[in-house]
Amino acid sequence: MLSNFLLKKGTLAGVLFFCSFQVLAQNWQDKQWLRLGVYRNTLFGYESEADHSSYFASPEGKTNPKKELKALIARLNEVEPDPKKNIHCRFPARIRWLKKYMSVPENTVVCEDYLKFKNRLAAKSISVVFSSYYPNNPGSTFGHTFIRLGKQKNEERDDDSTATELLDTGINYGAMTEGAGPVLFAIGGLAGWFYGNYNAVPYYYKVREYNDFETRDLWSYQFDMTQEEIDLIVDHIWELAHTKFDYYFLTENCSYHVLSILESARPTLHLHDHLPRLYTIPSETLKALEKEKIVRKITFRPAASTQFYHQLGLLNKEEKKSVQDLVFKNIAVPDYKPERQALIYDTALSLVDYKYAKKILKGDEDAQKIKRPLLVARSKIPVRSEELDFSGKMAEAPHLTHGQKRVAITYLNRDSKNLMDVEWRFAFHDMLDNDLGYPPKTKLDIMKAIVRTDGDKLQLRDFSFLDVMQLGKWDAFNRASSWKAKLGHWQTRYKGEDLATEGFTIGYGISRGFNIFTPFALAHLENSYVSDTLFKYKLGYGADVGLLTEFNYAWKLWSTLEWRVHPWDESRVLNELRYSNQSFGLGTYHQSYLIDGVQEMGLRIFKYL
Amino acid sequence: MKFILVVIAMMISTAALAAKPYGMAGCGLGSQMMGKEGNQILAATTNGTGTQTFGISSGTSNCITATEQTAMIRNFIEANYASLVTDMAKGQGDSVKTLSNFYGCDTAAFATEMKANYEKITPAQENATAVMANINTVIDHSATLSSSCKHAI
Repeated sequence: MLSNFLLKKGTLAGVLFFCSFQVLAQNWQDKQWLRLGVYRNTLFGYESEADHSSYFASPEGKTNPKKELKALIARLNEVEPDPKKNIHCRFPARIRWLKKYMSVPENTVVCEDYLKFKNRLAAKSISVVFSSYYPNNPGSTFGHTFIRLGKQKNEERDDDSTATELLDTGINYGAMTEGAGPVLFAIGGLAGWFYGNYNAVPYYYKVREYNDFETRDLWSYQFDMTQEEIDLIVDHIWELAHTKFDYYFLTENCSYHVLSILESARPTLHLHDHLPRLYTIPSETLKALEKEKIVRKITFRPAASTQFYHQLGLLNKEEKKSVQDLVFKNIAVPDYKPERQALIYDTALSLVDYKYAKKILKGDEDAQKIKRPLLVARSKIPVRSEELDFSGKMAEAPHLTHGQKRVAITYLNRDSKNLMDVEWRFAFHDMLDNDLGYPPKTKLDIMKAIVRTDGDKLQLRDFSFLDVMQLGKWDAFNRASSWKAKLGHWQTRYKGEDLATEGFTIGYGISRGFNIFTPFALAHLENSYVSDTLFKYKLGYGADVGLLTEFNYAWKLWSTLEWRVHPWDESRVLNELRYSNQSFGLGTYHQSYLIDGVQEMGLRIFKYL
Repeated sequence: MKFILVVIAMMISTAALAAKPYGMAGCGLGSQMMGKEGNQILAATTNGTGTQTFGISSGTSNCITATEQTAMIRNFIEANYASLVTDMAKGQGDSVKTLSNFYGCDTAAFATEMKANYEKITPAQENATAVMANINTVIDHSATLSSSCKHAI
């Protein structure tokens, strides 16, 4: 049987057959083979995450890496003139891998599109770019990551990272949601209705989109990878680009796939092992990169707003006033030295770019009428701008953040009874947590539960599906408002009793920073359901007035008067002090109800995971 | 329960996971050429900022035509317009550095000339084609640039 086969196929094929037999037996479970096929171990054996049959050489390839390897080897000799179908043009990464183990026949077809793609990318370096939290939209709270393939080696850019960076290529993985509104996207994203795919665009589109349009900082984590590894990644991306994946925004999202791509190039990397299976939070994937010690250098690209506040910090009081006059009152700048004048104009331009970002980038005429006179005047000051130094930002890099899961134990005394609260939070950050690497003055608790016990009974005190608050920067230059929202289960207070309630609260107002102090005032509205009362549905209203004091990243004090008109019983004064670092926290609080003076005070211990 | 999931999902989802391109630019010329059927990743291949761009700047490759170079530069100017005009007025910044790179000029000399001729180069209304034509004229008329820019159009 075998000899017949050899006779028929000729000697070359025979050799190929023998080699391949060995390759197949020894290597179908090779880690890199499985990674290049995007296989995962499931209850029912292997299954590839790739969802398109064209990703495989065998019709059973999706669930059978062994048959897939066999089919790939068997098809190496195929004479297929169409590059779209030719096996060498379709699977350059897997064939590159195969070449380590056997000799592969030369490809006789010119893979035109593939070569074009590879040449245009001209990848010589690789980074993972983190697009930071989008302060004005909780939608991008977790940040976003994508791959940047550089056209120069990292070392060549150490002196001036920005000279040619814009010409790099961003490789982005995202959901294909064309036509789906946010609601549909949300449900579909959770349920895996959408497909995800890769696209490659010039990095400058990414910079304009994130830095300028959405005012988000960009952090690049550079890796030291060999040219061989980078070439394999490019080939792998080429293969991935021709398939699609089920998109799950909690698990198999952008950051998840970015890690998979890096792993495919280097079998010794185990990035996914540092992450939980149930969800992938972009900033947490950066920690995985650090843990595997593959980060060579981190570079920073400021958002329009970051640039503005940095420049503003270089000006004195009088000069800041000039910026205001220039932008808002059209009053010319008085006679400063040309260097100072240039800086004032640069700051004014950054302000316009930040404040009217969306209009300017869409070419809006009114925005141009504001910006152009500033530009013309700036060009006439005979001083070229200095490059801004953002090296101080490195101390706030996004991988330095505290763990996003948190457990806390509170020993408290209420109305002379001793009680204990046990709290668990899935994610993410609150006003008093250490905010190194996080957007300032922001709270976003997702899935937080507090259980209270008196040593006897257990009671679910509080459950937040979502509890969010943002104290916006309301200053002379920009008027960002403050707001809050909460959805969940908590205790309401009525006639001296705690009653369980479910519903939502919202609030809107202003806050302003003075040095370490941030006073704020928000109107409060609540719509909830209380089963234990006559009124059942409760429409509560009132206001929160308070002061956030931030001594530094770690030490913070929160003081508020939560004044409620309906029901009045709930009005209280609350003070909470906390010290916290990346993994531990210690705090104390005191609260007192206005109506009857019932007090509660406690000591809190936090562990960030 | 479902409603709650939806609300949460709305809050934590969109931008992080489905980054939308802005304005008219979208994914640029490339994606427009590719259309809906096209493979998105190929957009990069038609977007004209590939190896040749860098080849030009380092003077090692001469493999693209003037038409292609023109298309690349125009596309770059259009996509980076707001940032580029600011950089030109300031005489500094990576958009102007990159543009200088396209023309193969000395960056400092290029940025200085762009700044000096700013009002002439940029029209009152956004117009990438006009900006490019004006830059070409400035390069032609500048003794320093016309002799030093290796890839002036």
